[in-house]
Amino acid sequence: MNKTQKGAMAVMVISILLLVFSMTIPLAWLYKVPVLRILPLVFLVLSYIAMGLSIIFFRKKQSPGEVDFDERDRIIKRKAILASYITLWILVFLGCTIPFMITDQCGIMPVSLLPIVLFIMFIIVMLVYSLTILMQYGRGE
Amino acid sequence: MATNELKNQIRKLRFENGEMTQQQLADKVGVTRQTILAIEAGKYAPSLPLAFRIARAFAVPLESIFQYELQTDSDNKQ
Repeated sequence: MNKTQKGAMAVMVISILLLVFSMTIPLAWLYKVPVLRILPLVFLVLSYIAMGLSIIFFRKKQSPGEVDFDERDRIIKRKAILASYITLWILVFLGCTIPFMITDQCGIMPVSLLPIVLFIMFIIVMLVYSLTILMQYGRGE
Repeated sequence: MATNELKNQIRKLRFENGEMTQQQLADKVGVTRQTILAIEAGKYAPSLPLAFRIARAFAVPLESIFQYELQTDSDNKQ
């Protein structure tokens, strides 16, 4: 595994954990069950652990003379950025239309939901970025 | 429809040059092992500078490593 693959793998794991974390926050607010209240914290701690472990994972090289990235990695990253950019626009569109459709024209939504929605959008974009990279390596492109 | 096919002799040349590993060749030409793997499998067409670096690593002309073949539908049917 080269550095780009390792980076994508780390981003994917951290994104999944943070996505679960951000989805458990509304659950903790809605239901007053103690287990559900701890759940976001558990996933936040797990994502911090994953961040720490990814640094160790990054250090190991395939060979001492190995380059960090090459022309193929650059092409793969460019395609992944394009995929995540398209995803961002789709999410922005959905983020604007779905609340409108749910709450209607004069509906009310808690303001605290906005940072959570934006955070989830960001995490999904990062997830798409890392998955696109891993898929391209998987296909051997 | 015509399809482009870039064939290469990297695998053969590696074994002829003291069973060089993909990692050794990658370090020599300044790319990752995955790139050499993809080029050998014909899944990635290297840039011209990289192709020249690979040729220089084996001390052979470029044409003896990479062969470009244009295949048409009639070729595929045969």
